[in-house]
Amino acid sequence: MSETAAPTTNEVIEKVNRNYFYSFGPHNWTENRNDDGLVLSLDIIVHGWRETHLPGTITFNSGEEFTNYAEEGEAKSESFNWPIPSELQTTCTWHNHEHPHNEENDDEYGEKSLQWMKQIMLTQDYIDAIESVKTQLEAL
Amino acid sequence: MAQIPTSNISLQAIQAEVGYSSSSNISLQAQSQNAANTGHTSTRGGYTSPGGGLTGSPYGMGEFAGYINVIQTVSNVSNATSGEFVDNVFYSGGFGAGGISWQLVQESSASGSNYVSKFYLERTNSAYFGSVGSTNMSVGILYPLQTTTFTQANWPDSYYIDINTSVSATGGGQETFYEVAGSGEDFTSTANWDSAVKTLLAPGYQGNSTPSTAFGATALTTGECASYTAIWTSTINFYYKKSGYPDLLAGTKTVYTEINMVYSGICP
Repeated sequence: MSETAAPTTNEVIEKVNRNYFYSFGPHNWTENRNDDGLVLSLDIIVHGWRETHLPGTITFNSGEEFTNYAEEGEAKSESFNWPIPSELQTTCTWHNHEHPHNEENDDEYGEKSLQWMKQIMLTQDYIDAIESVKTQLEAL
Repeated sequence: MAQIPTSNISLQAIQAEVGYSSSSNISLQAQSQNAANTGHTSTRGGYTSPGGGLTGSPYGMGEFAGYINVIQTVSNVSNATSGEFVDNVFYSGGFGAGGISWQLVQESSASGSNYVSKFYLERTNSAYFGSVGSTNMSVGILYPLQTTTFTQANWPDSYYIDINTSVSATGGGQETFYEVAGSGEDFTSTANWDSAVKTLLAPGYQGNSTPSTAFGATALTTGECASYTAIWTSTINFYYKKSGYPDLLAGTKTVYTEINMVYSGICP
């Protein structure tokens, strides 16, 4: 097949950018732990930015630059609590990119927290939070 | 097709433009209830609905001031409302990257004396999972999203794809989304195709019985020493354009692109 460019007209569509970034995660959630250090639930706030107003970058140990989602969002949701199912609770902690790392701790926290994130994103609280942040961003 | 004037509006002019009922015994209520351009907002003071569109009861001739009908279709069928692509990327050694590419395809064809314009979703790589509705996608197969049939006389001049993509990310990564040149079809969109107006190619264009154009998309994430997930939600609108008519929104679709980054091992 050829890679011929499709014929394009000269018309220009006035486009309103609706590209947004939403973020939550160990960089900004609050972990509620019991006296044994077992994390039982999370208090979550979803932060959001317009694509044109992203936060600054942060450089980790690899030397690569990443968007610093730990910064305050242009908009944010109300806090909501997510109880962690017993089989996904852990005493391990987020490394926050600080060295030296504890490999065993990091692996378990990474495995558990990834499952938390995926389950949280299916909850109505999260869906409502995204809608709230989106509404705020659209108004900017 | 003749735009209804803003004064001296006749029931005959309304019927002729709306295209509903015979040209005698015209009911203003029936014309209002069957007007295809439901987004029309009167240009005449006192007949404008608060949220735009026709006001409904009580029906008024002034509601049709400046009315113009939408592009006429023989049929407009939604084949699927959404698609999804998922990849799990296992990485170690510090830095890692994950990416998913997919594409939309517009294809024109003939059906009897009518012309058909169809939009498809295509999985372009076997490295990740893809689905349309409840159907698992195979690589290189075109899965229909929206099928619109026109008479040849009503064949639009052009079309454009409006895409808005938002990202939900759980930290630890850097997410980007690109509209890239599609490939493997008769024509390519070239990059940055969001809302770029393309000529709607008729069947037989340059000897192609079913001329097709590919519109590519790529989602990328890079991370360091973190397990996280990133989901891009692309809201896609297919619009047709024809001189003298308002743009026709044929359909709205959602494509979800999910990358799960799974980190293990030492962080150097």
